Amino acid sequence: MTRERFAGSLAEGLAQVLEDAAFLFTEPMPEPLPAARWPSEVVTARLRFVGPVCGTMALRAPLSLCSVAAEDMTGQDADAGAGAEVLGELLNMAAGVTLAGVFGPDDAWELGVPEVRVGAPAEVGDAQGADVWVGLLSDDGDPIEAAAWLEAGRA
Amino acid sequence: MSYNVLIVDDSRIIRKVMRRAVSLCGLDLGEIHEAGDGVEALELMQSTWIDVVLADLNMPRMGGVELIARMAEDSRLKATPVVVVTSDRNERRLARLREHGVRDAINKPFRPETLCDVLARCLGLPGRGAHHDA
Repeated sequence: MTRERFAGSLAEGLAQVLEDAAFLFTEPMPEPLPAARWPSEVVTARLRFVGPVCGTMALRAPLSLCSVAAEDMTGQDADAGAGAEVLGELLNMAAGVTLAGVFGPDDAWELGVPEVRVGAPAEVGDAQGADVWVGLLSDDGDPIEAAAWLEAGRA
Repeated sequence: MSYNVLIVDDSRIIRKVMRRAVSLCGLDLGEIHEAGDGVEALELMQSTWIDVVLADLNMPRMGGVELIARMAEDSRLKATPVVVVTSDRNERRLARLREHGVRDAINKPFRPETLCDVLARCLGLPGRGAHHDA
């Protein structure tokens, strides 16, 4: 498995999930946004996966965008907790689509439970050292960043 | 006759999304109950009649696989249809779950119409699809 293949599956899977689940239409973001251009409150979601390749996947987006996504998905007003939680769920879905694309539907792999953090960009972590990075921009210009850190798979 | 549905998912967002989709199906449904994991689901089913369970797989405390196994061991619950609603697109795992009695599986993200069709099929009702997008 190449990093390019993983990145392609992640980019395609993430865009599809954002559109289908959260009604977020996106376009590629060519390079990481400088830290100073991120809003003051962002959400980061991370989950572990194990399979032919193991690792961690992460998703980062502004809290305001996550709150709008939560409202669109549920049809109800969203509190800050809902905005954070929704990013974990979107990561979970994107990971499922990505890994099915990378490993195929018949290979044995498992997803962990997402962990979510809310805070300033410097507090919640970024994509530093990632093997795979994918950036998207929403219709309104909000950044959505996905990353993966890959390790050797289980025997 | 109306049918009671139990939604089991650790995400309250997903529970709300599913509740919204189920309520728009146009099926003759009774109460829509929610549980945050398998433990809560089993507790609820001890006191409440449930006609169909919509269950996630990956949940803390007790996930969907153990929930399905516990239901299969319980004479009162083993005939209750379970539909797995999951981000896990591993066909081999889902095939194993079908062998253990899971009626159907839906991938997240799902279209409301898909959820409605599966629900109707499980309950032996004509499928109607969602009235509009959830």
